[in-house]
Amino acid sequence: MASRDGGPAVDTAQTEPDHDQARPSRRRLLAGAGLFGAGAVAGGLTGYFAQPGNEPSGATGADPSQQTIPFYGAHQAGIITPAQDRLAFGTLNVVSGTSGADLRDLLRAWTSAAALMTAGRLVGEENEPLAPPVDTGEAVGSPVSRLTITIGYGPALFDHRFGLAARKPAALADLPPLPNENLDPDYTGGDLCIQACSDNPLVAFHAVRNLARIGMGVVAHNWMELGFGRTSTTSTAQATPRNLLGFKDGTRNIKAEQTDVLNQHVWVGQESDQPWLRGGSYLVARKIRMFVETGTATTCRTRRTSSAGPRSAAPRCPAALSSARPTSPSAAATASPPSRPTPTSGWPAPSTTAGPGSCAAVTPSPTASIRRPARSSAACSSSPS
Amino acid sequence: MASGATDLVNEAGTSKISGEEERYSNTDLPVFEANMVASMKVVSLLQPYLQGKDSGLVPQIQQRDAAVESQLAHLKATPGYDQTGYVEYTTVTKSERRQLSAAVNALAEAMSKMSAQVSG
Repeated sequence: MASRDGGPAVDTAQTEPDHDQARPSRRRLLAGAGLFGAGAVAGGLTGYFAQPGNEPSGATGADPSQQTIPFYGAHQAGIITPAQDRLAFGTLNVVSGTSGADLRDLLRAWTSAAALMTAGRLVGEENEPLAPPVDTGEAVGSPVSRLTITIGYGPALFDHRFGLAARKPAALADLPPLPNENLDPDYTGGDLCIQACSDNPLVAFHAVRNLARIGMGVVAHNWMELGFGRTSTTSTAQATPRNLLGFKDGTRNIKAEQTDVLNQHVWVGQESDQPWLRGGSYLVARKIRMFVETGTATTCRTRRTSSAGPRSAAPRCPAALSSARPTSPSAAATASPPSRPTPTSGWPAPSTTAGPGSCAAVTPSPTASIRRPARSSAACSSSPS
Repeated sequence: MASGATDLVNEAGTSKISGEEERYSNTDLPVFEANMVASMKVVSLLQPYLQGKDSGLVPQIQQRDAAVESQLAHLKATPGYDQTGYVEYTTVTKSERRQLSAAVNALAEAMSKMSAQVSG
C-alpha cells in the first residue's frame, strides 16, 4: 500500500533510545499485535504485551514529519507519547437500534483503520470509479507527523444497551461539580471518544473524520473540537509551552520517563475492579473558557501574583513584554484564574492494542481549550466485549 | 438509477435538513419523505441485482431507511402544517435535525455502495 505522502515507506528502525532496556523489540510487538489486534479491541487483551512499546519510528535524522508512532503496544499510543502539536478530539454516541455485535464490528474496523492511518497509510486502496472512495482522502499528501489515535469508552456505554454494565469500572464516574463550571449539554458526554494527535492538523482531523465515516449508521458525532498548541509536556525531552494567557502550564506533569509514577497514577493496574482495563487509563476532556482579553489587560504585577502558577510561570512580564510573547504556535490550555470550565466527559481508553491515547493537553481555540489531565475521569482501555 | 437514488438521499441530507430548500414554505418534511420513498423504490427495483453481489447491502440500506422513517414518524401530524401531514419545519429542533441528519447520512453512505455493485 502506498505511503500517504507518496514518500518512502517509513523505516521501522527506532530513533529514540530505549528508556527501558527490558523493552521488547518493536518488530516483535507488531507481530504479536498483528495477530491479536482486532480481537483485542473487542476482547480485552490488555496486558498481553508486557512492556511498553510505543517507540516512534523513522530513520534517525529523517524528516520528523515522516515519523510514525506504532499503534499497537502495551498501552494505547497518544497517552505518554511526546505530545504532538495538533489535536482533533471527537465524542460519538451509538445510535439507537445498534446491537452489541454491531458495536464490536465497528471497534474492529476502527482498529484496522487506525493502524493503517497511524502508519501513514490510507484506509483503503483506490476504488472503482462508480464507488465512493474508501478513504475520505483529505490527508493525501500530508505527512503522517506522528499521528496517534486513542479511543476511549464513556460511562454511558456501560448502561443496559450492550450488556456491559458489569464491565463498568467503578472509577468511571462523572466528575463532581466543579467551581464555576457551566456545562453545555451539547458539549458533554458521549459513548465513545476518539483522540487523534499529530503535528499536522489535517492529518489529525482526517483520522477522526475517517473513523466517524466508517461508523456511520452505528455511531453519530456528539461533539468535536480541534486543538492547536499542546499544553504541558509528556516527556522530559519536551519544553513546557505557554498557554494563551502566557503562562506555562503543566510543568509538573507526569513524564513518560517516570515509569513508577506512571504505573501508580496513569496506568490502570491490578487494583482495578475491571481486568480488561489494566494497562489502560482514564481520560477527561474539559473545555475551558479563557478570557484572553482581560488576561492581557491585567497588569504584570497582578498577573504575577494572582495567577495560580508559581512565579516562574508568570508570563512575559516585565522584561519580556516586547519580545517574549508566546511565540510558539502552541499554547497550553490550563485552568488559569479567569477560566471557566465547560463540559466534562470521561472515557476509558482501552489499553492494549486499541490504539488511541491522548496527546497531552491541547488548546483548541483562543476561547476554548481542551485539557486532559492525566488522571481523572474517563477510562481508556481495551475493550468491552 | 443507483447513483440517482443516492443523490436523492444526499440532497435530503444537505439542502432539506438545513431548511434552505423550502425556506419560505417551511414544508421540507413532506418533500424529505418523498425523496426517501423514491430512493427506496429504486433500491427495491435493483434488489435482484444486488442480492447476488453483496447480500448484506440491501438489508443494511433497509435498516437505515427504517431509522430515517422512525425519525420522521416523530414529526408527523394530522392534518399537519398546511395539510402536509407533518409539523412545520421551523418547529423542528436543532437536536431533532441533527438526529435526522445523522440517520440520512448513514443511509446515503450505504446507498452509495450500490452503483459499483449493480454495474460491476
